[in-house]
Amino acid sequence: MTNLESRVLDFIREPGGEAELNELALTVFAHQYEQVPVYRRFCQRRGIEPAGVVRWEDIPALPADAFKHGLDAADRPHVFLSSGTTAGPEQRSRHAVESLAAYEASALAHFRAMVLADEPGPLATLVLGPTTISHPRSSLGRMFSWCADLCSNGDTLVAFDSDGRTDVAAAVTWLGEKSRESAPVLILAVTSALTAVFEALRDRHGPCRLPADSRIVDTGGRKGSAHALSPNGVLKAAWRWLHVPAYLCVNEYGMTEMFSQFYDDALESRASGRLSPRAKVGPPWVRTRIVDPATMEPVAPGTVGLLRHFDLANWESVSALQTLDLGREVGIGFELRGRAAGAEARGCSALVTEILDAGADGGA
Amino acid sequence: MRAIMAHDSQPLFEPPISTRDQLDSALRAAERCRRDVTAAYSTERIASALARAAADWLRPDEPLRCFAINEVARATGFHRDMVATGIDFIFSAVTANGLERLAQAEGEDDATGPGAVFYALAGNVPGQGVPAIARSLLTGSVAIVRDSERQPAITAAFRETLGRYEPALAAMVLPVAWSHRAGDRALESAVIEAAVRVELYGSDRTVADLAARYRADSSGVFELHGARVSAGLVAAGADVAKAARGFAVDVAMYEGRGCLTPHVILVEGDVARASALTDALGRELAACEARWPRARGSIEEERDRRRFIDDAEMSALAARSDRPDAEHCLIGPSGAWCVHQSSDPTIMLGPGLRCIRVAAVADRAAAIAALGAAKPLLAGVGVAGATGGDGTNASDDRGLSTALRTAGATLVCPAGRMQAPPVDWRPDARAVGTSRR
Repeated sequence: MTNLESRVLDFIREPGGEAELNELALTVFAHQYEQVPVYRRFCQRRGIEPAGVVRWEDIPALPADAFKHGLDAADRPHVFLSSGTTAGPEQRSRHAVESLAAYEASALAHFRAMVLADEPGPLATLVLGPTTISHPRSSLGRMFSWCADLCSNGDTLVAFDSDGRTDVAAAVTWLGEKSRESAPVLILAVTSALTAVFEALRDRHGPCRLPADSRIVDTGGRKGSAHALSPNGVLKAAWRWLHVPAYLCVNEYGMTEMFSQFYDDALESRASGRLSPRAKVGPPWVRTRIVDPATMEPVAPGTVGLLRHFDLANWESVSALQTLDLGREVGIGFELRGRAAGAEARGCSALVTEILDAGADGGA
Repeated sequence: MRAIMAHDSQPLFEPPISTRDQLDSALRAAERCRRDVTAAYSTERIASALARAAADWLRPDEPLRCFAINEVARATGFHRDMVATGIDFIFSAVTANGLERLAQAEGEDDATGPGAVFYALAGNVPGQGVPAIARSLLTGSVAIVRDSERQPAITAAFRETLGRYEPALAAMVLPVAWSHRAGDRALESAVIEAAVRVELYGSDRTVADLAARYRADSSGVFELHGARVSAGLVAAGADVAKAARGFAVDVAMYEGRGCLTPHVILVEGDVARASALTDALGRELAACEARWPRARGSIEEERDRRRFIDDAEMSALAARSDRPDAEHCLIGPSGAWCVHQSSDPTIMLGPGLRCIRVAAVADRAAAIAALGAAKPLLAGVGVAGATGGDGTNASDDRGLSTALRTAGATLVCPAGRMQAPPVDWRPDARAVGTSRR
């Protein structure tokens, strides 16, 4: 373990204040500037060197899409690939590291804080998404596996295969069994798979009342092509079909390019007695700013802009990431207003002549 | 619509029709005039009136022109001087020759039907109503024109100008206004019922939505004009600096929102020549920015633009070690413009907003192949020609023009003139059959 990794892990275990974060962020930046040639050239294009940066806010944010252009050394032992659902399989992000320690520490610490804030004890766990076994190159799969191992009371069902198919029947049967028991349930799901389960309950099985304190973590939203409910749709369906209240539904926002995650603060804020509008909140070793896509300068509070993150857990690759996801500041976090997706074609004149069936006997 | 008044509070022009009663009354008057015009007016007389009205718009002191410039600049965010240039482009195309060609083309294709044609225009570029009006009047049709809410002025104002010379022709132009979002079902239905042909312009989604909405009310012919893509071509031997000067205008004009905006410029020759164009284009776009500061797009448009810039820069940075010349990226101060020299000559839509891709192609055949692959979405190709070193006269190379049209281009024009199509240009380069109700 390197000295820098130790320092990052120490910070994740016992987060320091702003000054400590700033100091560590600058050290991490200097390391990344040396170790990541593309990032170094990116900084040099802007005339920025580590010696001239004194605030973490001024560390150049690399476009997250840079991970599609071969950012990392080829021979690192741990390689994660994005699903390619947004831009096609040929445009997958690749995030490779020597050590998973910071990823694991970050993922579990923030999961505990945001999903287990009320200390529910061991949970029967349903995984409706990738795992390390089904998807060894999926960073989400790795995280789901860690989280399931952390929470499970030994009763875990993974109803998602390596082709990305959800075993809806098995999931519904399992949920039916759990509804007759007392141990609370944790569902870790990609939103599209969760939607499929809701639809099965709606169309064939009817509602299923899960034990008190059961909770749902979903991720992915409508990103990609799979059919998925909106965030509000998930909250309504969770109550209607599983009897899980909205404050126990936690949407996760994460990306392959970044080892830390953001979670809705609904559960955590309720557990801590804080009343605030639902927002995505990152861990103390992450900072998020919202910038104007035209000027790349920070926007006024409450204005929609692009999310820019700084994540110490990314110490081995690049910590300052400029995403194309839209958000706006809300409470102590932000509201996600749209994941990056393909642009709609614009223009004025592709001719798609249509002759209406009714009454038009002439042709173009 | 905002007040259409001059400073002395006299109405500058009649506002668009906004109620069912107004429409019924205007349609009756238009039909009377249409019968008179069809019986007594020669094509030359109609063309002459259109050309004279258009000429008024080229006078800097024309009040309607001044009003429209301000109004369009306000509604779109386009720089005022850019709008003024656009108005010059639009109205200088309405010439006797152009109108004659238009009349001939429409006549040959028998597109004329007695009755009314409804045009629902997009808000991306101003003045789309002008050629629509000309086409309708030359073919003896009534033109019902709904300008975008982003382009509220020009159709109604041009109608006023036309009325100075031929009131009967002006009466055959019916500007209408309603909000697509809020809608006015009674007025919309009446317009659609009255039209023998409906032409819808806008994004693919918009035209599809509108067609679905109007379908029930119409038995006429529908034409849907959605997204198209245009490109530039720098021929071998063309003056690169001159080409860049022209293409910079084509790229910047209307902030890249029109279907005639080039999104890719192909450069015949090697990578060094593409680099030379990239550098020259960067300089010219910088000059454009000083003259016409860029208008912002919506948050989603700006995000798409940022994606283009990020991708360009990352491609350039990633390619630097192995093929240092293949990828090259120039970004203006504060991201005002971006030129991405890419190894990929595929013709595809970019984000506009002064972002452009440049790619080298080995030879003419490779250029034609790349352009042809964009068919049927290809619209215009701006050409910096080679003959005599004059990079602005495509007609120097008729063979090239023919090849480009064969490849699918509906407009072939010199660099710098892509946003100034002739009045007889149509995206599909043909008229649509008569509606028989």
